Amino acid sequence: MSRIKKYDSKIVKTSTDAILESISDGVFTVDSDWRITSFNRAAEEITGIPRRDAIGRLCSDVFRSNMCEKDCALRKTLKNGKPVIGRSGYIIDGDGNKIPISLSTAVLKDNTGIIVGGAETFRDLSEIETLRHELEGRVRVGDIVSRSPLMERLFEVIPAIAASPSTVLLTGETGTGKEMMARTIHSLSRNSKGSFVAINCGALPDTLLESELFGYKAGAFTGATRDKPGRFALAKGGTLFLDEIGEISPALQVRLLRVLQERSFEPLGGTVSIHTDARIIVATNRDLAELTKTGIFREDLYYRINVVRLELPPLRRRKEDIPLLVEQFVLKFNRLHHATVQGIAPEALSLLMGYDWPGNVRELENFIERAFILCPDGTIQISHLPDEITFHGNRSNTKSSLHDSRSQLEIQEIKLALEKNGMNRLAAARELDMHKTTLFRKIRQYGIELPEKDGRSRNRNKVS
Amino acid sequence: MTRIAFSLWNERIAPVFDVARNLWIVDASEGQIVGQTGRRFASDDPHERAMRLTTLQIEQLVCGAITRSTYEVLVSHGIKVVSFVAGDLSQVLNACLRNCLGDGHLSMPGCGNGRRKRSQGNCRRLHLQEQQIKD
Repeated sequence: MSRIKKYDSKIVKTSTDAILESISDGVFTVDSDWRITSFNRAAEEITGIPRRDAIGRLCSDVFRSNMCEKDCALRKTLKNGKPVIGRSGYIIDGDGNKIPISLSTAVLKDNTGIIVGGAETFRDLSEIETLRHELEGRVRVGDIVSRSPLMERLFEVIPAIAASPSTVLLTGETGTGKEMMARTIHSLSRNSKGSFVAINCGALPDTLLESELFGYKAGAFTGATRDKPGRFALAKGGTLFLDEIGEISPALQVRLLRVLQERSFEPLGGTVSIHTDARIIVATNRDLAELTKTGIFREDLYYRINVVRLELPPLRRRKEDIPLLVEQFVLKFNRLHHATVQGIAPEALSLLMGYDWPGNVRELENFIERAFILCPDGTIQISHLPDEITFHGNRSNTKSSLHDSRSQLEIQEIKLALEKNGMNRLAAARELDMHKTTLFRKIRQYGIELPEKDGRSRNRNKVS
Repeated sequence: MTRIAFSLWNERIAPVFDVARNLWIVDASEGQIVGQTGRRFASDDPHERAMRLTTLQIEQLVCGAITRSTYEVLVSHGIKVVSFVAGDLSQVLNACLRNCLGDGHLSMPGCGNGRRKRSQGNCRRLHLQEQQIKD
């Protein structure tokens, strides 16, 4: 009997080993001290670590995942006994390459049911990521993604702008991604090896901003016990991003103008000018031309910074980007929160498409982050969206009903179809698969306002 | 005097610098520790990390695995990076003070030959001493 048992266990071990060696997923097991006890062929291939080097080493030194330190999936599994399935992250190979992976975990028990360690399986997602990037290639510049013709026009000029050393002025409403655009220009520029130094000019009082920008020498004022380099000095060979440039005082505008003209500055308390080769990118959500007329912003500084100007369109003018942006944010927050959200339900997406987005991309990002708190897995539904979206266009105190929700969705569908078709009602009706008179009736019924210009007429602003 | 930072996790070198939270900073002079303290990173952004290290006047960083992009950012800030190091802090610190991290006995698996040039030094004797202590 014992001989049969021994024989059986040998068969099982051999066949298990054979299976583990044949599969394309990496598998390793650890003992209770977190030391690797087995490491299959695929694990060797994905990590680039030979089995003989891995066995006996701590799994964190071998696996080198972004999850090891803060959020080890295997540690969680061994703690609560529940397996983790399909968590995404990355590992780092010996050449410093980031390898995207998805992993799953399980508890290892001996014949008596006592936990003796854990097993982790992981899959290399590099090819899938490469394919995804290739698909996205046409709509991505740096970290910015878009399918909007408005953004595509910007994408076309960004490489040329990045290659030039000229000062760039980024304008656009709050939350349109001005800093991200500045980072993208920096990453594509000759200065990309240097630092990207950002400062929000509106966030600091004048005197503090001056010392932050230009630095100070020891003894310049009480408490200045040693030299402090300013942002201009830190951005040497890189890019200095001055956000909210419209907020700086007239006195500081003069100093800034001098730096931009002469490419040199003096730290507070200093007597020697320091040369700066930092690329300057400035941004504002205010109308600088208007500010120059009222005397708040110096005209000469305005002309000095307005060399190359890029205006970022608000999200409401590029709503076709919303599905793409939602997808990006879902990927981002899945990675950050170790969540497994699949995506967004069509009806919830429809509500997002109908919203006006006063806070632009930042607001969308915040909404998705909020949804992740309420929905860490599965699909984001209407119930996970904030009230400003779900009650959009209906801010009365009456109780929302199914009929109201349907009306809201219908209003948004109509608005979207009209926007997509340049306010041409016939084309919108065709897209909505409804008769033009039905569309006219619904526009009247819901009181949807139309712009003065549409696809047919220049003189109408409302259907009456 | 040299100021060296070690990325730290559970009294060991943190496995991945890109997400490591803690730093152990050591001021060393002629192979002796003259001061040491702990600091934290507030952000995972490589540029902000580089700025933090620059502000802390770190000349050399000893860390575990690091992505190439982060490595390049740190190097562009003038920080010498000794990467793919594994082991207890005391062990690594000891090897570092003796300029022995380059011999590979404290390298992460699969990185024994030193992908990035590390400080060279013959540390065989030290390694053997450590082995004897362990045995």
